[in-house]
Amino acid sequence: MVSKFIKSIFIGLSVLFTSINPISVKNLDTNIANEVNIYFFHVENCSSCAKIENLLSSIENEYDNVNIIKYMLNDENPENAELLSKIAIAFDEDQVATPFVTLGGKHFVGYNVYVSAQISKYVEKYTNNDFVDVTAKIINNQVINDGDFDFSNDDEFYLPIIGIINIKNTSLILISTILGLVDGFNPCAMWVLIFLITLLLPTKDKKRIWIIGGAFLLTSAIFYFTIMMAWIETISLISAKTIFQIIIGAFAIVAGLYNLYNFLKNLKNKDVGCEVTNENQRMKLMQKIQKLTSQKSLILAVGGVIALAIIVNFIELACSTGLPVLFSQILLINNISGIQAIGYVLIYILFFLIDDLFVFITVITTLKLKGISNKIGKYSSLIGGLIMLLIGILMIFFPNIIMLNF
Amino acid sequence: MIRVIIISALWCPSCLIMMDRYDEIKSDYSNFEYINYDFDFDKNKIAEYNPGKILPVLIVKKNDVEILRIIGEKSYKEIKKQIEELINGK
Repeated sequence: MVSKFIKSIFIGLSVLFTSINPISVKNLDTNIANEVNIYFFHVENCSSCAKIENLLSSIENEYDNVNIIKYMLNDENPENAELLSKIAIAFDEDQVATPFVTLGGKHFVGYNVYVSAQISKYVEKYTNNDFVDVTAKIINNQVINDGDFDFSNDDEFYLPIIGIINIKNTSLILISTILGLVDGFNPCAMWVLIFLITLLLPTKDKKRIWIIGGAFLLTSAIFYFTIMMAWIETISLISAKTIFQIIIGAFAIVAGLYNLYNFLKNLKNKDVGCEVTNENQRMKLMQKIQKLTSQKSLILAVGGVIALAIIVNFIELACSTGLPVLFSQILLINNISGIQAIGYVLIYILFFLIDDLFVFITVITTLKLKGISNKIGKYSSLIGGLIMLLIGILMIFFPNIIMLNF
Repeated sequence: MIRVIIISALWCPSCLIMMDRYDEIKSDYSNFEYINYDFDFDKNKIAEYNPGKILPVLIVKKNDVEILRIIGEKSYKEIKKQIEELINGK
């Protein structure tokens, strides 16, 4: 939703600046529309083909300049399959499946809301702008050049001053930031760091605070990073992705409703402060922290704090009710993997740890411990709940929006 | 005789925030007696005050009778106003 909002701002700005931006100027010198041929390869009894056919019929009715050329793939017309295979090779498309549509320098395989929106978009574009009909060239055995293809990136928009903005990347950076922040301001996240520093502070030993506190934060970051990357790599191997996506979506809806229930339950309580929960668990962790901070050997203390960070983050994972899982799923849906995934996960973790980093940096620069108000934490369950509910609904009912294809 | 009991915890960010505000109150009303307890390490001593589940807690007692309880994060102004109302008998 946020990304949609951002995109609408970008589009709005682009429209605003069209008069001074020669790239987006439409050819208004002539009222003669270009003739656009749409080549449509289909088979019988194919529901996706029927959907594309309906779309193409409505386009043909709307535009006088559009011709639909249909190729039925069957035993009686083997030359159609041969042509399709030539076209697929030319467009460098491995997937030779129906429905297969080409127009100008673009091609589309299959049917979904995105494909349908893109076909309409390129009909409009080619009606008003020059283009090369690659399929016509193939049919006429003409030489095809690289420049004949339309490589315009559907996710990119030109903005004056800023330049080219990739909507998908910008949206994913925003999603990484927001989900990381909401996850980080979870009320159960902060106390261990505060307690650890409280015990270290009387020593006034900046180096010791740096090393032990830094080891705690670094281990937390590495732990989260490993869990999220392992999740992304594992799930990317699962073949039944759609079913899995629905399961994750349903889980997000339940977790979102649970967060909202918690927020409403606490709404009548006007006193905002630190809530005392899991006293036994906390006491055990506090004893561990006391033991490691009183450790004279710095190496043993660092070892202890690394173990502590792993335990605490395991507990925190349960506390964040699956936001990292949802975030990883969004990356997977957008086919983000490898180095790109690492980048987004690191942004998520940076914002996840930003409140802890604030506390830590304040301590090592001023040797004073400053708390962050729990009032922020109180609203994290509301914002987190709403975001999870929204993502869950989108994942199940409108996956196209999560794919950031608008 | 007015006694102020403050119950906080070492792990609690809200307590850190409130400590500065409590210090201001302490300097405004230096004639009060102040006692600080830790929620975890003074368990036996705080049991009689029934501190509840939200920290920090500030309890004002007059002649050993509780007359005010302020729970969680409150502004300096808010705390001051409530104490003033007590002193002036509003």
